[in-house]
Amino acid sequence: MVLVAGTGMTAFNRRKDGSGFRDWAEEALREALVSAKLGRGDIDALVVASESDFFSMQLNPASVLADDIGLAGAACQRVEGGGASGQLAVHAGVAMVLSGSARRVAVVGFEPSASYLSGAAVSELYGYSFDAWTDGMTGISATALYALSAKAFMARCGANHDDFSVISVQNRENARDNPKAHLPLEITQEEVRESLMVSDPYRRLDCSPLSDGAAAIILTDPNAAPADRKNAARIAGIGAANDRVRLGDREDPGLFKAKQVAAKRAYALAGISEPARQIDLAEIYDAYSGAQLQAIEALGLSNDFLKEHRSGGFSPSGRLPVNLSGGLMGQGAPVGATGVAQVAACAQQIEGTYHTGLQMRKPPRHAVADTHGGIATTCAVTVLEGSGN
Amino acid sequence: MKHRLTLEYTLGAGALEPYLNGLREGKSIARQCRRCDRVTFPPERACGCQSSDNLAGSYGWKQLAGTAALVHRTDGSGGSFALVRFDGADNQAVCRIANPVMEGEHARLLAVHDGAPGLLIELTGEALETAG
Repeated sequence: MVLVAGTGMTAFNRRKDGSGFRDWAEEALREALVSAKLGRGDIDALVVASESDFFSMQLNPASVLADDIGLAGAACQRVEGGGASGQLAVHAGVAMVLSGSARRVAVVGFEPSASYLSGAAVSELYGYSFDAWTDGMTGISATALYALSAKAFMARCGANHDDFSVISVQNRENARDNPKAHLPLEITQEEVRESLMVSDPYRRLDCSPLSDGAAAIILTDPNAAPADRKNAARIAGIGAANDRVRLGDREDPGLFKAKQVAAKRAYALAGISEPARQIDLAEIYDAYSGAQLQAIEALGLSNDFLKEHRSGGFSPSGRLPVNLSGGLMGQGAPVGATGVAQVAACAQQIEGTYHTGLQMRKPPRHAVADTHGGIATTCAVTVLEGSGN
Repeated sequence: MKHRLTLEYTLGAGALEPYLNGLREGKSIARQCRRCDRVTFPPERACGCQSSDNLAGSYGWKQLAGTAALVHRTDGSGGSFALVRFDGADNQAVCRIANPVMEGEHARLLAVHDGAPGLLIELTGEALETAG
């Protein structure tokens, strides 16, 4: 068993204050250490998540951050798996604790996705997140690839753009109660429908933003946690899986198959046999509005996901609230930080300490955090539970 | 603080060389698994049928007709792209559409003379009706 003894994150936004990723990482870790009631000297290992040195202009960022934040002497490493980097770093930290190689691990995710480079440069780099030699050479964007996957999904299950735009509206609405969110917006489905077409069916308001920011968590062995943190939320299961990197090589380009596999692995470790009944909260990788629905299907969170979506089952007052944080579309998406922030949000919800207005009245017993890199190519899923389970 | 970094790569085509050379000539050079005959364009480096043992991979190359059927299409500010299945291939391919003003379900491969060797297709259907 591994506890999430502490959590911290900066605001996710486009920085205009002259600060840099090293400042953000330090801020997030400081907050996490305070909430864990631990000091820097208590940390045995640092795991850093960051998607791209192209964004940060810093190779081997783990060594730099370890030095910056006073962890010289600790073991340190960087984990990268595209959009899944944050949760894969969490998984690496969990493995360290479970193996006994570390008793207290700091996991820090960061990304300067918004302010360091132009949006056009970041978009071009993201085009190489896929198979750079084939799909990437066509000049296709991430949005267009997600759009092709969404079209396959829509053709198979009958979902339409109205189903997607509900998500665009809801996640921005959720973000309005999140003081650290990038896009807290009050928008309508009509505004989503009328926003700039990026790659059909996706319009501008169906897309998550490029954000700057950092997030951190402190993982501990229960015996290494401070006495009053032994009841912290715990990691009950982790799972990861990979799909064919090119959509064209997949049997169904609209199905997030690797996410299905990753979730099953995480559920098995957590003792979850009926996710549609046992999971009470989900933080999902909504890089695009439709991707949230594709993920809900793949994670097995409903026995009839489209019907339940249309009846409001995944809204804040529904059976299974999804992305109360605002998700990537509302809270923001500094890539390496995203998965760490998702795990932090789930842990805080379980402990009943999440943002006022977003905290579930009855804290969830089980929560699932879901990320992926590529078009659900590299998938990582984490199940958290309360100490009373 | 502004900092500028300019990079120029020399990329090794490796096993993909026949495929990439074919694109420059407008030829669809597909890879074929010698064990199960699966044909892939763009080429898979490892066929699923050969993943369960440690024997050396065994593949050949095969030229396809270069014609394709559209499966899904997306249009937007960054251009038009499609997921297509080339005739004779067992997988699908992401391609840029060179003539997005056309509609239709059939396409053919075009040669890529300049720039990156990506899959470029031309639709062979009717012109899209435009207002006015």
